Amino acid sequence: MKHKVVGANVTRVDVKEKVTGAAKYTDDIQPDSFYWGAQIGSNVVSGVLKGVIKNPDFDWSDFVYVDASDIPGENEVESVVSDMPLLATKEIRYWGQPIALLAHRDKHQLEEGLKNIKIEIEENPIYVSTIDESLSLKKEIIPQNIFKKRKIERGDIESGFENAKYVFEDIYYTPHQEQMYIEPNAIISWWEGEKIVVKGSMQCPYYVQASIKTVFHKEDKDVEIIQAYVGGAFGGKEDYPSILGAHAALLAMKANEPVKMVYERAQDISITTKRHPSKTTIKMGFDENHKLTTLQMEFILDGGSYETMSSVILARGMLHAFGPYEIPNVKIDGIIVATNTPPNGAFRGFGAPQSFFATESHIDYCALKMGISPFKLREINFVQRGGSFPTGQLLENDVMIREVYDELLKRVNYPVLRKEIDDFNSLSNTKRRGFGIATFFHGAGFTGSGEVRLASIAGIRLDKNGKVAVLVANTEMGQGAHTVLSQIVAEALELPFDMIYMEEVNTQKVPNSGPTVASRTTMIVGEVLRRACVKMRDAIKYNSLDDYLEKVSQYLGDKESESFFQQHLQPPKIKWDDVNYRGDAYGTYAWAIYGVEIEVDLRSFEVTLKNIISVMDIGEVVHPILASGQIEGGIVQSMGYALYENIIFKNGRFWNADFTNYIIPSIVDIPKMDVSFLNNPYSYGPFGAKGIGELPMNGGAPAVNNAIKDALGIHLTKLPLSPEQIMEAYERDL
Amino acid sequence: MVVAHDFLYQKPSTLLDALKLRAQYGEKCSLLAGGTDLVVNIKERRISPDIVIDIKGIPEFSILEERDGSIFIGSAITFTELIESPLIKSRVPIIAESAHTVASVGVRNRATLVGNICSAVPSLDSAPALLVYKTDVVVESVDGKRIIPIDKWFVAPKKTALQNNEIVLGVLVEIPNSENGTAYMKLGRYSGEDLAQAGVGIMISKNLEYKIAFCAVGPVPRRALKVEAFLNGKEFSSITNELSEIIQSEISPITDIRASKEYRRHMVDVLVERGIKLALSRLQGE
Repeated sequence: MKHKVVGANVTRVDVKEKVTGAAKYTDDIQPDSFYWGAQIGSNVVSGVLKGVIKNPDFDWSDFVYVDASDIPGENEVESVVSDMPLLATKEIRYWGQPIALLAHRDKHQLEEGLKNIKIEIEENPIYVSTIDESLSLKKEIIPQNIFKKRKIERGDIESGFENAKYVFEDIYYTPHQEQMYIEPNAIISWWEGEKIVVKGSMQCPYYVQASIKTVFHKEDKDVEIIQAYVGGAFGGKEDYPSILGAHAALLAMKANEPVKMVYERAQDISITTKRHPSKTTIKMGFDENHKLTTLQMEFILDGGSYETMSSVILARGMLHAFGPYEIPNVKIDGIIVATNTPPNGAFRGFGAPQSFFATESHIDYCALKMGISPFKLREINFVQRGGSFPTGQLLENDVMIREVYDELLKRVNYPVLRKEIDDFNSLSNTKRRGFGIATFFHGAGFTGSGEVRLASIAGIRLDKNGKVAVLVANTEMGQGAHTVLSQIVAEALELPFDMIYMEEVNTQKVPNSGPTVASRTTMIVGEVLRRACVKMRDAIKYNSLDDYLEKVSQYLGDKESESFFQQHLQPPKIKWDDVNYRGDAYGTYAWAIYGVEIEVDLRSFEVTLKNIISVMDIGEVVHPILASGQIEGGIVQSMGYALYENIIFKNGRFWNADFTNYIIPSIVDIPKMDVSFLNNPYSYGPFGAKGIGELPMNGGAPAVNNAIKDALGIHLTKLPLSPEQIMEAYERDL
Repeated sequence: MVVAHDFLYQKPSTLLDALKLRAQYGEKCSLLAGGTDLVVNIKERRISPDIVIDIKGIPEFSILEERDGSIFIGSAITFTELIESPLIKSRVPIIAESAHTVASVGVRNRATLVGNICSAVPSLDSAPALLVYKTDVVVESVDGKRIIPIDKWFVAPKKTALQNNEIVLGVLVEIPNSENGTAYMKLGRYSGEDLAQAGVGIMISKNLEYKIAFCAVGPVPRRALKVEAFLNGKEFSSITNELSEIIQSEISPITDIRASKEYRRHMVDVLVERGIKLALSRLQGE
């Protein structure tokens, strides 16, 4: 099918506001009179809160102070597991944990006020900050320090390993990763009578609404959540605004004026959510033909000090852990442990970058050990059309791993590249080049029956002048979602792109189309919207733009507008068993491969990225420029994860909470990139589109690791792949 | 909160007015030139001055000129001005080379070399460059002028020989009288605007006299006199075990967030070797 708007590089719908600076981000919103809010956090890692003492000699008359006793409803943060208090009352589990809130109209006065508040905590000097410390039970935060366990099983690993000719085992570690969005977390809140209004930088307005409803015991109609322009999120604004929004609303309740809370960078890095650190023990068994027959994994995530949403991140990590391979015997144990660090949360990839680092690095390690090319080893083991994943999910026509692999080898002209690299290495005394690949995928939408439970509703509103508003709660945070959704509506209605516009993302104006997470916006919400458009076309039969306005006018009569809503329909083939973790974990997968060419300096062990080639199947590409931008950005983010990013935990707190010492790639670190797409349309995605947001994060770290292995013959198991680590391994292995 | 602290801001137009304010407020005053360190330090509550004296309105501080065989770099001269100065490039090129490695274009447009040496952090890029020349720091107070040789300037991490009633007018860098080749080698973690994990400044004269200085591998930036003594008069091909031992005895790196001490030790040898080779090739006009 030939499309008109889908597939075209239309101008972004938010371009004018963002380029001219007219777009107001939360910190730009300045009501005539308002309070600045601040959080009073724990100054110890672990202990028991004894009290908060306000200096009696200080003038508190113009301040607003809030602690847990002011909470009208539940003192909890609404999440998958709501185990975290909104404001601590007794137990302190991490440095910076919110205890009380303070607001003043003047920032300097607020600063003075904070200095006059003393927190009294009976400190427990023993704490745990890593997975290994947690497992050692040096300190028990919760029973056994285990929040949750899950299991995926298929076949019989015992006999699998017994019959295997080759068995290799190793342990892989990944650290925290900070999202480093440009705009730190920021929220403004005010009350209109009994109604609470919260506006701010967020991914999921209806999550914030749920949080506020719980904290204040309010109904939907009394909680209005509005998305402000968002300066980047990457998952980091999926759950945290539920906390910050409730904090601001509590202060606003007592201030009787708007209250604005904008985190500083150091505060944002110190206490908001990050990617879960992981420890993965992986054992692979191969038969004499190098067929991967058996996989055993223990995949452990550091959940931080409260469980919150870690269980779904564990699930996604496990459901991608087996890689794009057909494996008859599989056992994957997933565990979330507790540490005295801030609760970890969503970050692009959601558990999958951690497990792919282990699996895709280990495949190359096994190839090295067996003396076979890692390319050949993959060719032997790729899951085929008609094959299946260890959950029993049958993969029919949408397996594209071999296709993206073949395309990559063709694009890089591998035999020629190989010879170039080998020639370079035989001539150079000071440098070694290497080329590594990682093959990966990402399931779009919520895991398992998640989308059924979400039951998202999206819609369109037809206005009298024939323009059509898109009604979704999904947020634009730089990724281009509002442009892509507008394209889908324009295509479905066969109307010009400029007749479509976005309604404000406001819980009182748009239905709950679900959170803007899980690579679901284009694929899931886009399809719901497409079906809503079909409803409108069924109601109003127009043939072309010429008779459109006339038909609209006839249809609407005296009405100003008419809205058409649609609920998500689960594709009929998807069956999922939440208890046994069997079945179709995701409706479909996007498939991908990275090829990374690097150069390593043999004296300094610095890694230079020379070229990154990406081939992906993301179904129909709705907006080629935006899609490439998503992938390029994701590649750079994954290169940061591979080479530089490392949160250091020292004296119980994040030590490098700034841009100076938390290193992310800068523009001059970005290598040459070649991004291309294969187009295998997904029948249940809008015009064949699949989700792409998280996919590019999954493959970067193992591809770089495999390129280092190719260049130096060394095997690394910890991120980041620092010069220190390379030097140590190189000198050890010599 | 963006501004955590109130302070008085003064921008005197004469040196005398500035010195009087400095004498009056002493350690409670901060001096503002580029402000790239100062503003961050105030914002992050590391310092809380009562008064900030902006020196950019005083003509003496903006001088960059040749004076009797030396080059005077005023305290308000930015890294970008140094990079773009033909005088610097032709007579003391390592200053331009090290200036180029400081942070990013935006920061270099504001940040000053004198501000850099006043911060006295162990990793400061300007130090090895100034140390390999004969450099004096010119300071003044209401009581008069004082000259402090650069090798006496860095007292401890973040501490200089400056008294709290003094202001730095600038640095006076003597132009070497013999033909020489120089190089500044910096190790960063990435290509972005990073602080040095290790830095090495090198100057080699035609008669094989070596000047070598380090930063980021000890509490203060300093000359490596034993290394120089070992190398003087010798042709250089590569690092020998003997030379490496001397180099290693001159440095005392620590493991911190930027690098491990083992890696720093390893890399100083590498940077010295590469720096000497580069300086020699420049000396030979290659």
